[in-house]
Amino acid sequence: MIQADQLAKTYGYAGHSIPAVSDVTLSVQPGERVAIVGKSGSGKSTLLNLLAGLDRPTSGTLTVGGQRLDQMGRNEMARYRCRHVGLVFQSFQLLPQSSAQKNVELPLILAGMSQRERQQQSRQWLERVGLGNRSEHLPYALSGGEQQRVAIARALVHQPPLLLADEPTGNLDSATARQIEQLIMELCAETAATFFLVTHDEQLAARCSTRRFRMTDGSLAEW
Amino acid sequence: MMRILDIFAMALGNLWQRKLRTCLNLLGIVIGCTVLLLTAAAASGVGKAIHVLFDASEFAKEIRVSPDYYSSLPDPPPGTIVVEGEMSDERRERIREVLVNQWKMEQSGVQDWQISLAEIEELKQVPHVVRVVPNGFLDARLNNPQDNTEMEISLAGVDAASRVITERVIAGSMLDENARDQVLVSEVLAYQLGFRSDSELHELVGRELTITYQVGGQKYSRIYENLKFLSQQDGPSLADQAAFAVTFSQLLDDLDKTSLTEEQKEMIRRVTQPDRGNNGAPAQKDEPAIEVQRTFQVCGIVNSDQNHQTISDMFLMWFHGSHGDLLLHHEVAVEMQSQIPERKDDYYNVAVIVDSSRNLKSVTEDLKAKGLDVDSALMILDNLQRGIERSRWYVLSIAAAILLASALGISNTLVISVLQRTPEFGILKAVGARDRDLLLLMLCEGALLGVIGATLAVAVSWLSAKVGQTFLARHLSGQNVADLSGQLLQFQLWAVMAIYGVAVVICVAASLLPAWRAARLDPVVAMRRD
Repeated sequence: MIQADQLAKTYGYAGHSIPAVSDVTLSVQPGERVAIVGKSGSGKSTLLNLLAGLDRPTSGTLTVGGQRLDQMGRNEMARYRCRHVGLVFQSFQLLPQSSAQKNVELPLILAGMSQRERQQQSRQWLERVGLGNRSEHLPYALSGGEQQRVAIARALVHQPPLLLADEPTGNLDSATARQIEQLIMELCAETAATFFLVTHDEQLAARCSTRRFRMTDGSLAEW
Repeated sequence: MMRILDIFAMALGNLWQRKLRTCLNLLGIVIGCTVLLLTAAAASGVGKAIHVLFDASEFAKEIRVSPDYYSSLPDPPPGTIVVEGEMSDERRERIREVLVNQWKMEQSGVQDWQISLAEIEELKQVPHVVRVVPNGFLDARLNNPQDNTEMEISLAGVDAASRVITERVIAGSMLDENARDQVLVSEVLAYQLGFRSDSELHELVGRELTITYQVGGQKYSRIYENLKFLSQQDGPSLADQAAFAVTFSQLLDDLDKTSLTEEQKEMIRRVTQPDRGNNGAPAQKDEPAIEVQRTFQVCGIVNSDQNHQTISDMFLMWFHGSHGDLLLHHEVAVEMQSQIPERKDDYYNVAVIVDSSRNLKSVTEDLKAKGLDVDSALMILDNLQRGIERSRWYVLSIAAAILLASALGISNTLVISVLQRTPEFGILKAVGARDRDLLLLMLCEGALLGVIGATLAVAVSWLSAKVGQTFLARHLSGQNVADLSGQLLQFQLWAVMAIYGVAVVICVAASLLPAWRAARLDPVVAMRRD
């Protein structure tokens, strides 16, 4: 599913090169649940962005689902994100002016699905995350946990083979965090998506993954 | 791939969600487009209103036609007329033109410069000509019904449909189109006949007037006319005039004995003896005059309005040639004039009436092509149209400046909007939006602003026009002027379509930079700006 070889990402700032990811080699099989644990600034989010096709590696090769991300153009990257990736962020990243249902519909709109079909699918997914009765609510009218449920529905509505989550429970209280954690696990099992979790929480990583890696100063090591 | 319909729906949603920003952007577009549309409507409407005004006043529907004296004469040989001295080419040409005409006059002698009845018939065939009114004019004697004395009067033919003459009727009514025995009496003649008070003028209406005119024996009338003219110019004395007449009479009798060419003799005979016999021989000089009597019924009294308040009034008075003591149907005047052999083709000018002032130009050109000299209101009309055209460009420039300012405002607002919506664009990109999708989304927002702005501008313009027309109609009601309330603003379909085009193009152009910036956003950086 995922094959990274000597992957590196360096940012330039004020004439200096700042390495964020260094020499990462990684292989993940389809359906695996992988967690990357690391402190803030260790490069784990950068690695997730590379896997999501949001950022481009400085060197090395990255193949996801048979596609070379390091060789893709902007439009191909966008198409890859649209079809193959579901993203869940710590701060939910919902469109504030759109209803819950519209937010969930977003990947389907971008994929060019008909209105009737996408409305049907988005409603089903909102039902599945327990928000069937909140579909017309705007994000500000939802609690943090509910917003994250909407984000999860949005991430999975187009049934991507890869689900990437960056601190998905970081902004939630512990009870809600456990609910979200369970929801993600259930849905991943249901859709058979490969799950890639980035967190600083080792316990969460332990509960949610079958393989765990530790990231330190851009370097990755399995533990 | 994102569907165009979804892009439009999303763009419309964005505009709706940001109502204040949308309203501010629309304000500039609506003001600019309204000014543009009203300018176009006014330019079209005022042009038409001028024609309505001109048509209503008959002024611009009439063309005064006379023979083109100068162009019908041969040009001087090259080098004959040379304007010397240091001067501009324009001035030299002006002076040369006058000198050439003077040379033509000197060289041509007496020419047949009248319009014949046959030529008048030809004028009636010109497209858009509805009537041709020859300037019929003749002298007669009137039997005063009050005391049975006779007095010298003049008769002039007028157009029974003339509104100008109709407006001069102070008692009775205008000539009936079909009653050929009717006449209008000038108030001066009525006064001379003894009809002075208003009630007496009304008494005159319906009365019969008998006139007498000569249809023969006027062999030397033209010579005498010329002598009369000369005497007015400090010419020869009366004794000299009489002596000249006798001498000239002898010359005519002995014309064949002179060394003049046959062509010259024929010219003198034609000018001095237009009354020719069937065999072409000159009529006898002692041919007795035949006096014809004709009785008319007075249908109305006309004022002798000499105080022309406007240029068009002055033109109209001149055009209608209505200074006779008795005004009668122009066809009757022509018929009477035709009975006088030497005057039957003696029309120095005729009034050609066209169906609309819009066709004035084409008819004028047709008449000029026939070698006729033409006077009409075309120059005034052209000047007015040019003035309107210039004004239109001034106002259009102002409207364009407003639209440009609006475009800059829209661009500025959209740039700020992109900055505000950066996290939103980041999310869209994160979930799979391509550069092209965001570019189209922003351009669609611009295009929708243009369409909505143009629609509002059309509505505002139409309402403004309705309100303006209502006020104008109220203001003009009761005044003796043409109702222009429905004419001044003429909305053309092409102008409305053009407004939509202009508004959309300007808004899309204003959206280009913000759209490009939105499309090129890095999703990771964009999402971090939350």
